[in-house]
Amino acid sequence: MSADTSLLVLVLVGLLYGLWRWRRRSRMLEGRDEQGLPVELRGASIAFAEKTFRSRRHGLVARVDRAYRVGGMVQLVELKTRQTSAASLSDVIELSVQRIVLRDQTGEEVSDTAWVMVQLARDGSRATHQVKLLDEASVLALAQRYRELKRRSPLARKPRPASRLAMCRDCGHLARCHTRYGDRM
Amino acid sequence: MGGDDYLSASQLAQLGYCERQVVFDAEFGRRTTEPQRKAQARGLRAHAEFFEESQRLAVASARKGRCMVATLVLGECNETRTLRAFRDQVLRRSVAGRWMVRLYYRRSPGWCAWLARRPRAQRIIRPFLLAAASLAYAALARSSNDGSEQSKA
Repeated sequence: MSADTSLLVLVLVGLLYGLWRWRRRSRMLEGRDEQGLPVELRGASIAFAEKTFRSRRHGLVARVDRAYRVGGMVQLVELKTRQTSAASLSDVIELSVQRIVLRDQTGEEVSDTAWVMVQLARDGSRATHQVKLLDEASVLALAQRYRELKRRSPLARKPRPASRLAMCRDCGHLARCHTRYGDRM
Repeated sequence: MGGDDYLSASQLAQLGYCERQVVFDAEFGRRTTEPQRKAQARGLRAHAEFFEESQRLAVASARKGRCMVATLVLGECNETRTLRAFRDQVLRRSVAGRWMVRLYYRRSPGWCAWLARRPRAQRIIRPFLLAAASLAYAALARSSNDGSEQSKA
């Protein structure tokens, strides 16, 4: 075999190897992307990703991390990076707002349950938690409460602290909060 | 996110965390600490990866074919989606599985044409497809539990 032929064979083998590695990697990525997803969402088509929606009538805006179309309904998924794998009330509120704005802007039916996908900060592993969303009246009451707190309205005289002391550890207002309310230390 | 008269979902979510923070932010401006900034940066990176994943999934789902027999007999429903997910998550992971998928897609247009003219035959195979879908669901649920523990971003 001449040197030219050997080189050609070598290049071809290299190309085939590269192609095989690329296909393997694409397959692996495809599989990995759906790992950690609940069975209900696997294989479902993605309706929206990282998209902002607004509700004019309620003056609300939200960015949807990912939404799937399942059985004629849209199912919301919110990604969170945390130290512990759990869904919280703030996730429920955020997703409930997303539900309202998405429905108002697109007219699509959005499920009243959604998924919080928690990615653990320590090792990147993921777990999903299904949550029941708040109804529209509750979200609007929260919006009203938020505006009152912002305005420091007399109606919102006693703002609630975080439910657990550990949540205050990294807060930038911790010293101020202790001075004003005499707790949280 | 707001920057206008709109209230954002993340602003309202603060109420679920701490109402006092909302008041202090209004009075003194937002104060972030170093651990919070690190957490925000980590969150932004995770969201960028998550978005890339979403794009890959959208492309993959557009490229993959429909499960023809199941779609014909059961229609577009949860069971059809489960069978499709089983094809992608389980069968496509092995050489033998991919061979079966290829064989199926080679044969299924003929089977569909035959079934389309025979509603009775469709009614007969319907329970078998539903049973297959529930077995596939169980297999996926098992791998989903494993995945929750093992999947790395």
